[in-house]
Parts: sequence; C-alpha cells; structure tokens
Amino acid sequence: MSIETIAKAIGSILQDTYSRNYGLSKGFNLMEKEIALSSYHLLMRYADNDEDKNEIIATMIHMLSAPFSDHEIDKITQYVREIFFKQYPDEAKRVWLALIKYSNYKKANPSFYRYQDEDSLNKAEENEEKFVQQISSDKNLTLDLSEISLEKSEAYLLARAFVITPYDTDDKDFSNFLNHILPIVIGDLTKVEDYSYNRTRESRKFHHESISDIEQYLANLFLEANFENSKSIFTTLVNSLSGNAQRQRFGRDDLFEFVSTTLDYFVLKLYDNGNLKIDP
Amino acid sequence: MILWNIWLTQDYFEKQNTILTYSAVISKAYQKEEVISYEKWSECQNYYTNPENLDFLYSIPVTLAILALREFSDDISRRTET
Repeated sequence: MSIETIAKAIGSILQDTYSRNYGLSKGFNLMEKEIALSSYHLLMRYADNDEDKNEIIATMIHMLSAPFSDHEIDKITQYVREIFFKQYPDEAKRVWLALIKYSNYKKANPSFYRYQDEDSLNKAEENEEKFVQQISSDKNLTLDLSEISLEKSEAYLLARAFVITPYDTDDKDFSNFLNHILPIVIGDLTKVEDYSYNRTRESRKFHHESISDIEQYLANLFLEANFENSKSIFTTLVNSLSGNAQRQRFGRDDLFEFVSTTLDYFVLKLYDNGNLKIDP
Repeated sequence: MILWNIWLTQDYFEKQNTILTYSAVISKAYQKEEVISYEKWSECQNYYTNPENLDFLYSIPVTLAILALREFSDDISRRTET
C-alpha cells in the first residue's frame, strides 16, 4: 500500500510536469513533491523482481527528462548522484546509460510539435514510450562515446546525464564520459545562441539552464573528487580559454563566463565549506 | 441558522487541528526529530484511509508512506504490503 501511494504520487507529479502544470493536479500535496522524487532508493529496496526494477528505472528516466524548474532539477540531480548512485550503483548506472541512449533517440525523433495530426502524434508518443521501456529493461547497455555528440544526441538530455555522473567511483566509464563531454560543451559555447525553434547546425545547442547546472556540478567535482580524477577535467576547462585567442568583440563571451563562473563557484563553495560549514 | 454556522465552524477547526496534529507527528518522524512507533504510524495510516481526512494542503500521505519503507521495512512489508 505504501509503495502504491508513492508510485501514484510520482506518476501525478510527472504527469503535471510534462503538461507544464497547466491543470493543478490534486493527486499529490505540493509540499511532498521533493520528498516523493527522492524516494527511488526506498522503492528499489522493495523491488524483488526485474520487472519492478525496470519500471523504477523507466520512471527515473522520465523524471530526468521532465521540464522541472531550475531549483527542482538541482535537487533531483543531486539526489540521483549522491544518494541513489551510492545505494544502487548498478541500477543507477543503467539509468545513466539509458538517459544517454534516450538523448540519441530524441535527436533522431524530434519533439511532438512537429506532428500535424493526432494519429501520428499518438503513434510517435507510443513509439517513444516503447523505446524508454526497452532501454530501461536492457541490462547490457554499454557506453559508446562515438555515439555522443551534438549531431547525434539531444543536448538537454546530455546535460542531465552530465550532472548525474558520479565522480567518486573507480568506474572508468564515468571519467571517460566526463572527459569526452566537457570539450563538447566548451566547443558549443563558442557558437552563437539562437532562440528560434529552427535551429541551424551551427547554433548553440546547450541552453543557459543546462550550462548553469554544469557550472555548479563542476565546482562540486573540483571540491570533492579525487584530484587524480579531476585533474584532466580541470586542465581541459582552464586550457579552453588559451586555445580560444580570438575573443568575441561584441556581446557576452560565454565560454569565458562559463570558465570564470565555474571557478568562482568553486572558490565560494570552498569558502562556505571551510568557514560556515555549509555542505556544497 | 447562526447557531448552525458556529457549530460548522467549530467542527471545521477541530478537524483542521487534527489533520495538522497528524502532519506534525509524521513530519517530525521524517526529519528524524522524533521517533515514531509502529502503533503511531498505523494510527496515522488508519486516519488517512478515510478520504474525508485527506486535506489537499495539509495532509502528507506520501511522507507517511516513505516513513513506512524507511523505518519499518520488515514490519510493514509483512503486515500491510500486498
């Protein structure tokens, strides 16, 4: 009964979020939103068969791709990285790998607003759900870095995968992913921002919200990860400016902003942590 | 008529008061400020079983459910989960 209550609440929360909170659902108390979305490790504890585990993984993928507000997504990604990954590393890695695969699917099958009639929209939604179920139940997903690029992956999902990546494990997949994706983000920040829906190949793919999440994430990584693991990431970040001698003459220099904001966060978090004992 | 309204209001406040009292017990247990016994947890659960006692703003049934999984893993899976 308790599991049912939590699952139902999570279902209502995700439904509300995907419909952009247009209808205020009475399926859950708003005060319990964060509590419900950080209970997956408890649900996993009671999942005694593969089917239940796959269902939890599928729900987590839906959660990690949902359009939550900035402060909500910060808490969600922190929960996945710091609590869920520590308690259920194997299942968490499956979520992580599936999210990366999902980013490929979303890139190949862009959003629903492109569909003109209801039938093709329903069919597209059905196919997408089938895909999510399929990747959620696949225990043999592997990391293929050659499939991770802005030409082949949807940027906002890659950014979500980026910020749930754990940095305190010996699993090389995670450090390889981080070392692969950071140069992609840096390269993208030298492109021009384009706010129209008709995005050309050369325009910026990572949105401001994603970049802001990544800045926070990297600051935490520098603060907490073993230096052996973070050294190469730090070097890539700092060196990105020296290779980019031709600075933008007009408007903001977003790459410069990215590097300096990340380092600012790092110093501020270090200061808070040392003096005020505030957790990063 | 006026008297009826007074009774209605009193009932309403009493009920709100009970709802808030249960929420406070659950909330403190969730924050680990106070320990909750299995009996107390069951009492809260029974209270929420009646849909009339579920207030959209002040009831916290999900927190109560999470508490069950966190605190009484063996007890509750044996006695209430199906």
